[in-house]
Amino acid sequence: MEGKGANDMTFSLQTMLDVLPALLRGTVVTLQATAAGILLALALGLFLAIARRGSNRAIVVVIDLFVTVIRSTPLLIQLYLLFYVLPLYGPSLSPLVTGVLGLGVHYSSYLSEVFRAGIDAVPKGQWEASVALQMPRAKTWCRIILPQAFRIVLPQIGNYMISMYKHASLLATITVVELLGAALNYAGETFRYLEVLTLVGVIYFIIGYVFSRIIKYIELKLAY
Amino acid sequence: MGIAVIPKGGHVLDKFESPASELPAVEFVDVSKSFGALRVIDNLSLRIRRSERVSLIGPSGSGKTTILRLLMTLEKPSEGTIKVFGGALSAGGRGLRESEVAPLRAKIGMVFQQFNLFPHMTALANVMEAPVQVLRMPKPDAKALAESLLERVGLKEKGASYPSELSGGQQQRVAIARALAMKPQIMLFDEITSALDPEVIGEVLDVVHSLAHETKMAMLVVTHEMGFARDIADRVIFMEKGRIVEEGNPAKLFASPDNIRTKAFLNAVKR
Ligand SMILES: Nc1ncnc2c1ncn2[C@@H]1O[C@H](COP(=O)(O)OP(=O)(O)OP(=O)(O)O)[C@@H](O)[C@H]1O
Ligand SMILES: [Mg+2]
Repeated sequence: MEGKGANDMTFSLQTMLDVLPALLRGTVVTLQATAAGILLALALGLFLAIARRGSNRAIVVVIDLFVTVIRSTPLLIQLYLLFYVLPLYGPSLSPLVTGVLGLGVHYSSYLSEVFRAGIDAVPKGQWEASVALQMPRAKTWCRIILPQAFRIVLPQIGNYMISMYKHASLLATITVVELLGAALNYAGETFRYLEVLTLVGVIYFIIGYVFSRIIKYIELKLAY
Repeated sequence: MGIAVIPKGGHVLDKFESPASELPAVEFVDVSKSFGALRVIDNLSLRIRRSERVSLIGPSGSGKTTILRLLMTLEKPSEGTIKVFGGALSAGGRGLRESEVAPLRAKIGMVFQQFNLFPHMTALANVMEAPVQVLRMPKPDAKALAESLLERVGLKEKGASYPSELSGGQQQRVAIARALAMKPQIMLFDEITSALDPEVIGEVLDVVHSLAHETKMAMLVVTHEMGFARDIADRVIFMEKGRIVEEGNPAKLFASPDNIRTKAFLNAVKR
């Protein structure tokens, strides 16, 4: 008996097979949101970290304020603000783009601190050797400092990537049909929460695990 | 009438200015450097001729490293002017334009106590980096240059090794090759053997000696190895508290210094 009825309490593999296509489509959305969010967070985080090193006090104060505020308020509220309030004053973005923006900006505040620590961890002698070799400032950043800083912080970046990947499930609350959203839609219709959420958990785990292995692998590859 | 008068002895140069070939490689004019209240270089003047080899000795904290760092533009003088081949490299107070400073700085190379190799690049890539990135030398040319320089410092076989795979002595020799790749006319060596195990000091000093023989670079050598300071130099400068106390011919200064403080220092290091 394959049942979809709310009264059927037995664990149904058939339900899992039925919901799988929808969940995989949701997974693709989750991965897209995560990838785009990470790129935004890396770019913005790096920009903040470098901009903060300048001698301009005002810039430092503004960046610190921004980072502190973003870090000490929940992502969920930031997403709601972007989704419900931003369109009143600014552009009206699609839910997915709004979600990517929220994830990227939120995580940029963490990554800017990570990059800052990584850049500070590159020995002063590397800057000095670059001056002694006549390297211009921009070249020194790109060729000498950032490659080393990036290796130093790669494990932390990896952790934040995985964290963001899980956090992307919050996008369900702003109507993005990502993995969790797809699952909730299906479960809401069928009341098969057990099977659906189990499957969601399994998918999250598998991808998260693969993700962390890839990051470990890259770490090893880049070690010197 | 009607005949152009040819001026006698058309002076191109101001009478106080020496012709370009006689301009000193390095000139410190009344240079002072303070860190907060601490006056590390105290109204110091110094000239180094082209191709001259100068050893700088003195007790810890006397300002030897600071002199090299000022010259490499890693520090800015608080007062006074530093000139390289007659051009103002840096000056206390006023800022100089990078476009004017860069060509002067390009005449200077430096080797550091801690090597400061780029750890994420192979030995070969370390040497190639500046010629490719700064001089825009084509990669094959830079590679050939780097290989010949590594051979010159006795590391022909080590081009593919990362710094972490090399001994301290080998790393320092790569650092010397890397500095040479930019063809400096003035080389600064700051205690280049102080971080090394005793058994590899010789191989690094040998490289510097061979450079002294085979090149015409001016060299400014800071070292605690008194034998090396004597053998490498045309002139030895003993400094203390940011001032030059005594300078002169190495054999003379080491054998019979005039100044009592020089004498005391040399006795102390001999122990
Ligand atoms: N960035 C800095 N900030 C503050 N003080 C400094 C700085 N750099 C150097 N000093 C001080 O300046 C003085 C001279 O330093 P310097 O490194 O030139 O001495 P040195 O002759 O090279 O000594 P050593 O033989 O120990 O290397 C020291 O007292 C040092 O503590
Ligand atoms: Mg020193």
